[in-house]
Amino acid sequence: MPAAPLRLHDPHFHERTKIDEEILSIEQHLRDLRALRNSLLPISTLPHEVLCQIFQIASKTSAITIHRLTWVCYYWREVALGSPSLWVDIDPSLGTTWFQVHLERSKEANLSVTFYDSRKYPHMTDQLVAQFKRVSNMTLRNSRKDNSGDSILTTPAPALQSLEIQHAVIPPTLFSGIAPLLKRVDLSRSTGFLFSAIPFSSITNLRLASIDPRISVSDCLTNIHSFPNLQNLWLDSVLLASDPIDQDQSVQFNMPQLRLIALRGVRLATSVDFFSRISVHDELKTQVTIPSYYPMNVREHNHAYLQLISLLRTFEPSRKARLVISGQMLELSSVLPGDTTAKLVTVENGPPPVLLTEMLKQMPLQYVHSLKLCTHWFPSWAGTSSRLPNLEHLEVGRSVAISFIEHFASLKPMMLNCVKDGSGVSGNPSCFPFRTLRRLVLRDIESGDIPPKAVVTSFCKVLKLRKDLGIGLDELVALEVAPGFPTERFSLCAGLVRVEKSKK
Amino acid sequence: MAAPATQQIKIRCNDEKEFTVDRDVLERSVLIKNMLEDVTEQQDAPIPLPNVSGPVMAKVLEYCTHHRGEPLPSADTEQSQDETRKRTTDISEWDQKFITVDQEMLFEIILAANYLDIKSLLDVGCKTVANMIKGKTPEEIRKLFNIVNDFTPEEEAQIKKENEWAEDR
Repeated sequence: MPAAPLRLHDPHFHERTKIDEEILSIEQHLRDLRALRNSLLPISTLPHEVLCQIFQIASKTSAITIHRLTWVCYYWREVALGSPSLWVDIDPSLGTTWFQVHLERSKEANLSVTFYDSRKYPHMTDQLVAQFKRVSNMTLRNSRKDNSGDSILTTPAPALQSLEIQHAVIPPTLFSGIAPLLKRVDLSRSTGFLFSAIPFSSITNLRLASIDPRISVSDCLTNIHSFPNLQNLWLDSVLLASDPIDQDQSVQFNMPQLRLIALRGVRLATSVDFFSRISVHDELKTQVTIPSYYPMNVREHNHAYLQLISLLRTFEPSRKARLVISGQMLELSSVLPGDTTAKLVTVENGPPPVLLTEMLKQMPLQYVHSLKLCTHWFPSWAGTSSRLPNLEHLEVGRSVAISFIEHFASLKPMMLNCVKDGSGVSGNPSCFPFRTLRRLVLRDIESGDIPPKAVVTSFCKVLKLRKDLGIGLDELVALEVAPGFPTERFSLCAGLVRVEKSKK
Repeated sequence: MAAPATQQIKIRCNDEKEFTVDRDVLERSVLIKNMLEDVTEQQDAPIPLPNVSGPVMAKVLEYCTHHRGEPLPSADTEQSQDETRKRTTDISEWDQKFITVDQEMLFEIILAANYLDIKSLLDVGCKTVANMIKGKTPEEIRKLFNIVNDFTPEEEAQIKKENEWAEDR
């Protein structure tokens, strides 16, 4: 046994100890006084649960905030450390200490885990697997296809409610088939996907995007039919193109619980195939986005989209349908013959002038209420405007906006004649187009492109309201113009409620 | 045809200040709504609100009047909204103007909203305080709310050590 160190006689030892004790007691007393003072502040009147709610909101803005809050004063520290729900966000990328502090302070509360590149944190992954019974939300985002998340993805998840996975290899059965509370599933850019991997009947929201291998419409419908609680379905670039010969539309899938179906990255024919095989609730919302391609036959193409529209329309008597044919093709929403609400046509960049002209000739423009043109070129305002008798919202940019201004300016002599002889244009409304316009947006006009002053002035004069003569845009209430456009001239248009400059 | 007259309800605050308010405005408060549902006969006596003063109640009524007619959060929507609410500190323009008051009044409004059970107002109040806190150091937060550091030097050294790894990030 080692000998005790030799202690020399210290004559002031007891005195010093006494003083130390006194300092400690004074410090304690000071702390109590300061705490008492703090308790008399207005903010201290807030009850524990309200302060906790404030901490919760503040800590969502930055991971460091909750740690700083424990350092403000004794009471705040007590509130923060005594509220496990403030520590439930687990992000291994913030470091081992952070990870462990949160695991510990969250006590038994359900966890919300975000993993970026799980292969970087094998040690923490193991710890997390041990705590997986209390994970309620999980996001796993790898930067590339990776199977390092496997141990997590095969661990039973009895509390899991929401799951998001990006770039992973999906195991044959997620969570060993145990995730009874799982409601929201979002799988994207992942491989090895089989519908049998998600055997959870409580799912209400399912989003699959760019998964591999792609699935056929038949397989997809057979499987989603087995989710009795599924309400919202998003499928983005996951469906195999339907072969018209193989389409067996004799089997109908009844899915009355569905409230939203969004299809993106699907061929027109595949969409038609998909929607023709299901019977759903009347108020199902649909969003369909067809990728860009040039149809070989415009007439056939237009027939196909009208077929799709009529399918969507049977689901949606309340006109909530939104069909978008995007990219270089026409973008179109509910251009439904005979329908009078919610219509939008957007012509994006790209279609060759001849194709665009041909399409515009064939489209049922009389039902279009909203038109957005993102092209650099438009056939002829004079030829098209008379075919748009119900247009309420027009948005144009660049050279199309300038051609619109010039077209309107060219109407000035006709308008002046009508004013002079007091005849108006009521006898021939087509002489004065766009009278139903309520909102006009002229975007992307560079200052160097602004037409000559005389043209702009004529344009403004034509816009001027002359309800008594039936001339001018008497419904127009909002005008938005490019930043460089001289808005002061619009003071002429007395009926405008709002003139705004677009943000760059 | 004239619109049906709205029922007027009297309330009395802890400073004896009384307000006569349309029932639908007052029913933004779940506490008062439940009280009114429990009373079967119309009564003239004002409803006592012992935890709210007149000036604070005036502000609360301004909020309730502005938001009258808006749907109240139901039990179904509450859970999903809870999540959204916690994740955002955005406040609408009107609410932001409304809540631009001194700190004492701000905390009184929050307390009143909590007592009267007006979730949306409590939410606006909590978000406002959270916005004041976010991005600040402990010392800046103390200064903002006039809090003194009540840790002993030992405790403070311990907390500092404990948070070193977090502050280094």
